[in-house]
Amino acid sequence: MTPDLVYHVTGAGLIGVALWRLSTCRDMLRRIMALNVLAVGIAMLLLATGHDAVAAITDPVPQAFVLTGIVVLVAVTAALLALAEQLEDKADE
Amino acid sequence: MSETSLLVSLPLVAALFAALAPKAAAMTGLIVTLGNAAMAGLLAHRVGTTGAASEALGGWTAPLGIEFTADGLAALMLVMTALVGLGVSVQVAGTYPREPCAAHQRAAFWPLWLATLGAMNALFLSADLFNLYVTFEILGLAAVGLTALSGTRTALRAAFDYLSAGLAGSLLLLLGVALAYAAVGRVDLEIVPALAASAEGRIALGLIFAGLAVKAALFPLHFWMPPAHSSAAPAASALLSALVVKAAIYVALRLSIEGGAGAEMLRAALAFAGTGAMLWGAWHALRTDRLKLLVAHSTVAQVGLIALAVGLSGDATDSTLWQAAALLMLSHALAKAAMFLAVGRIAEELGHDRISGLNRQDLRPGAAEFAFAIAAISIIGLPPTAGFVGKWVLLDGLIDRGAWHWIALVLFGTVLSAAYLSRVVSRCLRGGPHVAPGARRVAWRAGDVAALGLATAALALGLASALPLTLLEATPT
Amino acid sequence: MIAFDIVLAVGIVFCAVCALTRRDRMASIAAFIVLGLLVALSWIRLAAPDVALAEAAIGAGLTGALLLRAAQRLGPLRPEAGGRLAVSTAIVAAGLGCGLAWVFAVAPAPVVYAPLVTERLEMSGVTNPVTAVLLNFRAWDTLLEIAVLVAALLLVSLLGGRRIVPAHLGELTLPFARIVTPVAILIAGHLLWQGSSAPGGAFQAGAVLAGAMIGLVLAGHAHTGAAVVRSALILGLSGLAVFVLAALGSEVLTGHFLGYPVGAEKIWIIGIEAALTLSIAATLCLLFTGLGQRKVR
Repeated sequence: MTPDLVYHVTGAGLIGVALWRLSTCRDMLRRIMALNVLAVGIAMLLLATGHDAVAAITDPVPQAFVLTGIVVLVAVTAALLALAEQLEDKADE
Repeated sequence: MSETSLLVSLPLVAALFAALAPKAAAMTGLIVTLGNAAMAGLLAHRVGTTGAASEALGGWTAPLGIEFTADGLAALMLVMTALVGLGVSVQVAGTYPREPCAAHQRAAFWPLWLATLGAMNALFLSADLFNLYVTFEILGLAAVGLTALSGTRTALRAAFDYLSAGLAGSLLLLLGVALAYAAVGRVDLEIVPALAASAEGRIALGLIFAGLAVKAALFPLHFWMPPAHSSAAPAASALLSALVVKAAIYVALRLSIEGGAGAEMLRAALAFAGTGAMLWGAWHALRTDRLKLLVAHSTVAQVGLIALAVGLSGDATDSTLWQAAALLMLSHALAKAAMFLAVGRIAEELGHDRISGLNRQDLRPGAAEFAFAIAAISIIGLPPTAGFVGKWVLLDGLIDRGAWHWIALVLFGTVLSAAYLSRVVSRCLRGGPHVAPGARRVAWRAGDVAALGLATAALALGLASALPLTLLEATPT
Repeated sequence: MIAFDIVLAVGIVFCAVCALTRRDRMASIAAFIVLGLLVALSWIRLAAPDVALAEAAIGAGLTGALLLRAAQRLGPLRPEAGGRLAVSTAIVAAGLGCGLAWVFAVAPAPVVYAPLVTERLEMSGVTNPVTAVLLNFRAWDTLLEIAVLVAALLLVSLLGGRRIVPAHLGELTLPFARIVTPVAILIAGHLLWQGSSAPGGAFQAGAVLAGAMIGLVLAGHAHTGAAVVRSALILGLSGLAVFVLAALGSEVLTGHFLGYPVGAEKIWIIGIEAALTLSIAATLCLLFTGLGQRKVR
């Protein structure tokens, strides 16, 4: 058993948890958090795939993908939260 | 500087400029949209005369670097985007803001539209899966901005659902890209045949297709689309319905062509989803009482037809059905943009958009109704429109294969679209007392010009259909 | 070390479950932030320090701050119907998770990129391979990523909405800001400069800087008037402008879009990164504070 395998399983576990909550929750904030967890799981899978503990090779390209993904995700999350807050405002009026 | 780099960079710079200088936004937007159309035309001309070309960005070739591929299909999509964008831009630039709120919205329209344009151009040229994911995110955010433009609660709700569905679709796509990386170690588009040959690769392609289906609002993942497209402002709806959904179908078509025989199962899934979409969309379009919802549901049905064409096509060599799909995308883009603009104009004139209230006495059928009728003819697929040519190529290919049940289905879909569109067209020609008190002829004509222009383009393209068909022949060798 | 990995993995999944099931908003966001930090730790174990830095700063820190702001405004969680549906979807999701773990574990993962990057690293102008990929080999991805930030900024500014106006936090915040802000600026500068040879770069530096700016705003030390917001907006949008103009400029000089002149790669990369750092910091800060005119605590 290698660390890579452990993190493969972790990544898949995060995706599973996120999908479960996405399909059962209606709350906007919770759905946004679930989408974030889903993205973290995918990033974990990418990094674990690009890392070879036995041969000690690390591929920098998936790391660049994940870095890009993190920034993209925070941008979309900020937009989603702004929309959710605006909706809540309109509901109050 | 080459056309390709200007196509992808000019709209982005213009979006920044328009965001910082709202007063000059309309002028900037119009000039850049015009320039973009000229560049797309030049590129199409170059591809048509000298054939498809690839360009390694920064001189770094694939797989490590990212490449642009400008072939016939990409060029056709770029021209489609440029034409529709030009029409919608003329419409938006020609409207007078009647209230301060509208002026604010109009200023916000331009940066969002220019960002959409830049993202679409980048998407059509890109030959790298991860790069496609990033372009989809720009496109998604800008498109959601266009949806939220009108600022009503319904629009905001639709925008939230749109963005979260879009993000879920993007993440599915990203998961597929990650699995593709795990299967073959790289993510450029040349790996698609290798992906189609292995089990992991096929799962990866399946995930990517699922993500694209969410983004293209393909049945049964279309739930976010009718509210988004019907609650946005008319110009925004025209862009969303005519162009933004096409981006995902374009990528699906490209992957299906590259994937060849290995992607057979995915194509079958696409064909079935397309069938479902055609029937579901048509059924709801027949039953709704809101004009904008009818047009939005018609987009669901038409996306289904295009997905069906993609699903039935093989790779680039063994079938011309994918060319039918490309033609249908083009004709739908022109006709649907014209239709949404015309509907916006009709709704503004009447003060409502109920179909049952479309009977009119005081107002004669005007340019908007005329544009709607031409667009409807193209969407139904009657000669001599572009829609007819697309359907004809599709049916021709199907007859060659003897796929009679699919032919029957396409014809049934055509009958359904004729049925729901005639609900509007026939009422426009009848008289009736249902004009709302707020009804007025608004003193702008640009909306008519844009809608009529786009509808005429759909008509003219049917007469000059040799042009796009020759362009599509330019495939990478 | 494998025991450490397993404990960490269990902790990560546990935090994810807490973050997505706790009924108390604050508890679930706290679990989310801890999740981000643990994930960053696990990515150091996967030999990805650049990404770990970014995840800690952006994924845990900034996203956490955004979620806290939203939780404040959205109010408590409304009760939902659960029950049998939750159980059956949990089983389906668990099945999907197992399938994914299996397919990723058996996928061959041939090594294609790593030797290519090593081979071309010398020509890239920098020695940190991740920076070489981000700012040179696949700079187009990064440019579009900045465009994503711009699109989000456009959307948020269109929505307008409420702008954060801080509650005064009392005596302690002034010394805090006096110490933390200069340190954060130093760290950001260091991260930016060392990004060419060691873990770090524009994104990490920008995130640290954004953190400092948000700290200043929350402590009430920064003006949030319309003029300040406008200059922050200009700064936020300038990164993409610089990047696109650099890309077009390099095409004029070398004939390749985003192909830097030979020998001057490092200067180009550092220059672009410096502009990106400031613009990312301003953008992230604006995404947190909002651009609207209405002021609400």
